[in-house]
Amino acid sequence: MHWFGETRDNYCPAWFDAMAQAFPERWRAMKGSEPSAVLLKRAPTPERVAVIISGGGSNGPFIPGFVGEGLADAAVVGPPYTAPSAYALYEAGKAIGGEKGVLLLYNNFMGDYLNNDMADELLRLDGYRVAQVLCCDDMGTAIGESRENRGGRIAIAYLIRIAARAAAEGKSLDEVAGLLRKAEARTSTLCVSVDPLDDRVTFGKGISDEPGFKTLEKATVAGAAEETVRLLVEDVKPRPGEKVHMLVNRLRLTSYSDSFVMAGYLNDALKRRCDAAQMRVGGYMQVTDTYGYTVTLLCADDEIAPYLAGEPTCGDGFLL
Amino acid sequence: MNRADISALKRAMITAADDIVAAEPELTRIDMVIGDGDHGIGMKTGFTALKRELLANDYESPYALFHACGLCLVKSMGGSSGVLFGTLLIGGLEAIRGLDSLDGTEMCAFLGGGIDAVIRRGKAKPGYKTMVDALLPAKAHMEQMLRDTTAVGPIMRAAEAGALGGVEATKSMLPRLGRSKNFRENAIGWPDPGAISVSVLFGGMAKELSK
Repeated sequence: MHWFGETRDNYCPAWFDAMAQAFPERWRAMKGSEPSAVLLKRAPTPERVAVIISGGGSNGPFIPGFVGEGLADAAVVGPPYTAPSAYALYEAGKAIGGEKGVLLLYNNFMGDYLNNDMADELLRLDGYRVAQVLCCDDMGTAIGESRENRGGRIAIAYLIRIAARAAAEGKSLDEVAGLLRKAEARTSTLCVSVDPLDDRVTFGKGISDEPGFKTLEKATVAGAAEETVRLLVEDVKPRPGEKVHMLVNRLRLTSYSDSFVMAGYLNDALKRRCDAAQMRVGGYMQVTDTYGYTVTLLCADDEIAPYLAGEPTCGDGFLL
Repeated sequence: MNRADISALKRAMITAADDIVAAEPELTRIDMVIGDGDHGIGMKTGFTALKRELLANDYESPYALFHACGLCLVKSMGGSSGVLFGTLLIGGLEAIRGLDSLDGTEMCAFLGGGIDAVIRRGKAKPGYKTMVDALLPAKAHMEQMLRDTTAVGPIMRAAEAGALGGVEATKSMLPRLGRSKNFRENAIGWPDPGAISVSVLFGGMAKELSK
């Protein structure tokens, strides 16, 4: 990032502006909320519940790569690693919010909560319907504490897909938010970082590289996959009638081919332990320079399952 | 002053903004010891923008004036302080919708609503060494004073007195939230900068509304 150090305040607005220049058919950038930045879906759908995703800037493709048809209606980010301002969220809500209301969907961090909650109040004062859904899937954070103390990771990718499909069906704000809260409560994500030179695997590193909670020495790819799935299944505890979806997200230093080979082992391990549904693999969110992957499980009952079934949704550089 | 009209409220917020800007060196000095040192600068940035906003615009109601003030802080400050001071000015707006001036009862309902909203949103409990420790006694003092008078001047003075008492009380508290919790025992003896800012804000408003 140091190469861009001098332009930090303008980094995210410049980023979104260039995205809109590169793919004007898909996106437009909204100005006026600097140093936060707002990216909107090109073709607005005001007859549906509007879905706004947000968080600290500078990852990828999450957050802005998840804006588009079949995904979110807007992305709002703050400067790198900083929550967006409530003002930017409010402006985005006014730009895309219609009769059906605005859904604020974000990962559970204090700054993101404060600013989304404030934007919620500002939009309500202007007469909009608003709901918030927080994603708390990172099992490596707040171990032994209740779910609302966990940070969010990448289960939000599934929630974005569910929200878009439910909104497109014409569901109300309360119905969409209810589906998302139900799905969210049945997710768990584990970060598995690997030191490939001495075969050391660390489980549970945080999104800002906070230390993990468990290390395996001299681990094989299969052994790491087995332990990953064991830890996740133990955490999320699939119930009878639930089918388990798995999202394998490669971290930045992991190659395209390596990630699929790893995912194959993970899928085998999942099938041995529970009623596995569909696996998806991609580079959805790449934060730190780490070799390894994050794995997300979502236990879907009959109500949630249809929203994950069918053709994959196409985002910027990933299939979901 | 019994009732504050729009121009009195505007003057009150401008005076408060000047006082916050003047308090910046003191806020920064304390926050350098027990926080990350950015509280004073953030407040100065926000209230400089707030004064500019007030001087450049006219408002049709106290609601519109405080809405613009809150939004201005949220937009210009960022971070937690921007949201929380914005919440203080926005969270109680429903109580004054439709009014063209405020007496002490209405001011107490407006600020009390904002104080409740800050507590709800910020998740700080009393005794955590935060702005809440100035806000709650300010609210209690206002409610107490309402038994004697409904004039806006004395009510605002009561808010200031309550907040100042709260600032004093934060000196002996251990920080429980935010960055300054990392300083723990070193923070004993120092007041909370957020609590000081509340007392300066209410004091500036009181100065104008007591005239």
